[in-house]
Amino acid sequence: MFIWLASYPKSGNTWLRLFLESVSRNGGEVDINDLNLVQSTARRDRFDAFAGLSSQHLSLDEIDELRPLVLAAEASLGGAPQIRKVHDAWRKNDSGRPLFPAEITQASVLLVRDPRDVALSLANHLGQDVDRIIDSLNDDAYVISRADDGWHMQLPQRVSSWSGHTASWLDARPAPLVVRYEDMLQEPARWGAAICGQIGWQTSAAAIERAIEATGFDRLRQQEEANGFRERISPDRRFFNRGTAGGWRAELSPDQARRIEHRHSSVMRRLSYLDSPNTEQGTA
Amino acid sequence: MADSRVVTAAYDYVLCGWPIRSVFPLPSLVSRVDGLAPCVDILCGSVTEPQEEALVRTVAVAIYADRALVVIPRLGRFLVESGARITVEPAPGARTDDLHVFLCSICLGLLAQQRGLEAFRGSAVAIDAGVIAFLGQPGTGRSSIAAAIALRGYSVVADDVVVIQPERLIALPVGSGVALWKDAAHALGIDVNDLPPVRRGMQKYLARLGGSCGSSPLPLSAVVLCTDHQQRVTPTLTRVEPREAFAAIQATLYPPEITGPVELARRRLEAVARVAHRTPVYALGRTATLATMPESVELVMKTLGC
Repeated sequence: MFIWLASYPKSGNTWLRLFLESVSRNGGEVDINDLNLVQSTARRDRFDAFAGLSSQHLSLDEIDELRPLVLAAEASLGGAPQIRKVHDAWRKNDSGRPLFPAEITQASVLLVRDPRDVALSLANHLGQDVDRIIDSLNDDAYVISRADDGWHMQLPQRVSSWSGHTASWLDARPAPLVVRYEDMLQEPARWGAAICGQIGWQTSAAAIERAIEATGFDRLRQQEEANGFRERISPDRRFFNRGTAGGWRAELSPDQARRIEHRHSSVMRRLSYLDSPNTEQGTA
Repeated sequence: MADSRVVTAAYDYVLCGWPIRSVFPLPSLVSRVDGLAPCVDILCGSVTEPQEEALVRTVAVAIYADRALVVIPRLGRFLVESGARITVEPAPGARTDDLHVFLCSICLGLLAQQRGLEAFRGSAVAIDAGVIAFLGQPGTGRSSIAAAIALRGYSVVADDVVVIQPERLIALPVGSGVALWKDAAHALGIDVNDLPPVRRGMQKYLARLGGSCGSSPLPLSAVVLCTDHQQRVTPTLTRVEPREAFAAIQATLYPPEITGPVELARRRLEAVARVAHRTPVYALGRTATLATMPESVELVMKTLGC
């Protein structure tokens, strides 16, 4: 069985993985370059091992046909539930099979972040300008790690637009625990405990507090500065860049904020990202 | 099993020294005009799953006593039989020029296995002393370094799949083409504009580099393990002890699965042990950038006496 940690890219999934890694060590220290507990569903080597052939020349559609079968094969081995990071939208492949079938899903957590902050964070991560990133956020056909633009260590993933991604998981069954990144920042102990509960872990409040401290943003950033981080795309750009909420207010132009709000207003409202006078009204 | 609806073969090639005839064009292989009867036929026909129980089964590959079936949804079904025949049933709507890359990788690995050989993921070049096999997972720079060495006048022996006769430790020439991603080709100064893509829509191109290695087997002189870049600043080349080499080489077996009947697993592991113990094995630590490729090439050539 699997537990999915679903999120649009740069919504705090890595932080959540580090937090859970620390909790699994009773709140102990974590090495950002040695994460073992939560693996990505898009790991190519694992896919290749279960498929029995190399995925490097498979098309996106062929990979999508095989992915539920590969996950089912992994699940058939039994053992403890595996926690997997997911950036794909929840969807079915062309054969009508869900990529993340309910019968092998124990639980899901959907981590969401204000798309206006996602735009800034993703722009820094990918080294692209914000307007281009907003195009991606607004693109229902957005795919990451595409095979047609070069080699990627991960399988291609159909992420969809920010709204498409978020709504797909909000409506998935079994229903996920929905956690807002901003709430995690504000009340980490409360939401950390809720996530552990969703996963099915019996965790003490003390262990959660220790894990929060061990994975504090400054600690992670110090590690990255000292040792680098395998998951960052360029050595010139930090992965753990700011980690704050609401930075968009100072850094997005009113037009950029409007483009995001206009395109995603329905799902943003569903997640209370447009309820505050400091959000939509502030940029209108 | 394959039915009798086969199409007359149209293309003659040599692969691992075997004359083969294929109804599908296989542009990475070396054509032949020797008039020899083929010992491997690649045909088009309907393919059904064998009734016998599979010895090894993964999601896309099933291995039987003398047959293997590869099923790639939306692309096709490939039945590899007795080391002598591959029957392909393309999926409805599939393009036949998309089949080539799978015929020359997973199907070649299965064919080699049926012929008592072993296939490994990697690329290989011929130097004066024999063959250097660059083994590793895709994305670890195997093809790029093989191409970089070929650009210095050496011959490519294999790309993507390296076929080895484990008892005699010889490498069988697969073809002289190297598949390179666009960025790797650019870094090597290769213009991709006139090169065919490995598969339509993919920014990976088939380049023919260096001289011909011929069709005769060549002694395996060294194995270089290619790994992830691990944030290195400069490339490194270090000798690997057999025990460590065994695990790393085993991870490059293709097809990868080594479960199943004891005899099959033992045969494959013995082949790995032979390579690990009787061949000098090195680990190439690459950097994150292709800009250091010349340094990697120098390191390999100097160390291995090219």
